[in-house]
Amino acid sequence: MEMTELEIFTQLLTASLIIMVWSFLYRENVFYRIAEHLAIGSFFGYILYMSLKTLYDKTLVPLAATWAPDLVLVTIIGILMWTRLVPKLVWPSRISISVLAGISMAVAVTGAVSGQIIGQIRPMGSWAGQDLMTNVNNIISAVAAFTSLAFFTYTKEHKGVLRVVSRIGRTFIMVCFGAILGTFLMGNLAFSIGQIPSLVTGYGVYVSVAGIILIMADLILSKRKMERS
Amino acid sequence: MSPKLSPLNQDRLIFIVYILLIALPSLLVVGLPLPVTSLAKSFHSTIEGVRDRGVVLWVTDQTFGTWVELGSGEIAIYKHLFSLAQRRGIRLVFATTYNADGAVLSASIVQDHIIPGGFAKGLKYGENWVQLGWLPGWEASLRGLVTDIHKVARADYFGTPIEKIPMMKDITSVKDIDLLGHSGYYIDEYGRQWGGLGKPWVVSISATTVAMAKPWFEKGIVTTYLNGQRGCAEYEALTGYRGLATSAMDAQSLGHLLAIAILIVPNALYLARKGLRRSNSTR
Repeated sequence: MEMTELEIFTQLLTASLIIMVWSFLYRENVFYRIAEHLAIGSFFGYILYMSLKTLYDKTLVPLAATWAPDLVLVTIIGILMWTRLVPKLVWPSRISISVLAGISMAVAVTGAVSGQIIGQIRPMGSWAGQDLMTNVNNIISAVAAFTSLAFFTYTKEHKGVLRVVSRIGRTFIMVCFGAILGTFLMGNLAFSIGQIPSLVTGYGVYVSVAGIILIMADLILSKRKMERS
Repeated sequence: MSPKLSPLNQDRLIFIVYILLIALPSLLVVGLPLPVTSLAKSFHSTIEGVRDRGVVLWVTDQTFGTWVELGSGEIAIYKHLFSLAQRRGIRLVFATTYNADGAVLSASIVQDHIIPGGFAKGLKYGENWVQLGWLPGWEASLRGLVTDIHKVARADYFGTPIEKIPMMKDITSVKDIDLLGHSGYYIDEYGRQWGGLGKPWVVSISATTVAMAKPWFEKGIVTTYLNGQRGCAEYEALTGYRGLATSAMDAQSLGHLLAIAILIVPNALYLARKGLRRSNSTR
């Protein structure tokens, strides 16, 4: 299939940026820094554009059309946030922050009670589960929760029974962290695997070869420099 | 002279081996086996189980970071949902709450894969599917999507007022929705707002945070989930819409083997040397 010039340029640019970022694995260098600044700059530009577009489409246009009281209130709260830019007028922005913090807290806490506390306890209403493994799981969950809490008990010195119980809790915490680290590793492998096709297919191959040559040249030059000194 | 590598060169060696390993399947087909788990099967059957003319609310809360892991699976999910819209008149509501990336990615799936692939043939925007775009506020918006959609989304992604979208006239809150779903990095925020609503809820979550999904799933709050890129590959196999996730599985498996080797070999060497030192000192 014939590729357009734009597609070729996109492939080359994508591969170049990936190689520039990955070159950090070799050592800190100017190509990495260019890619880093480019990524941060373009990200903030893009976020600014999307924020303004969303503000325009979802608040300002409906506001101009209906003057609905809730939209007027939201707009005033939003405008008050900007008063932070004037040092003498910082206080009105605190109203906006309080409203935002209050709403976020209320929404999260309401959901947490029903979902994270009651929702998690309700299915464990009975020790007798549907099958043997469910029962074993329920017992392990309860023991893990109880002993992990004991590990975080700082008001009493960990001696005697508390020492034994908190040690068991520590083991459960370590197992939990190990499992999280394992899944974290798996996820992060996927991030790099997703970028590989851009480097080994199409015009990305040329960029990869150029990157490898540059790194090898740098290795040789650094070795000679070390030998001379 | 000992051929011992400096710590910096040890790191470099690991990176080189890792990059070569994950690049290998792109050049040669390794073809390691990929069994489909019950989670992916259940994910597929839950989506298939939506009633005719039912409504699916799908929140694409991905970032460009998670896209390389979950993007391919997301495309397969969109294709599956649109094919159900074609076959059984299921109506689709797409939204984003976490940040603007999701809205852009959602729009690009429709533009680059759904419409050119013929998955929107016979369907009409505003009657069969709607893209609400980014609804800033994340958790508060998630709440709004199940309590009063019209209040939280005054206009769609293209700036059309919601009251002018025919399909949205009878979709106002969770009572009108048959299936909730989201994809992204997090789950707790969604569980807090969607848990206990009595509606099936499916998740495509990053493998990095999949451990967070387990308590929600074990307690039956999340119906089922796709576990990162692997889950996406399984889903691609089930739907037949194969993409990057499927081809990335060999690389994923080889990467895991390297990670296991890096964990085992140095520890084994350390223990062996320790044992050797101990036996030398006792002599």
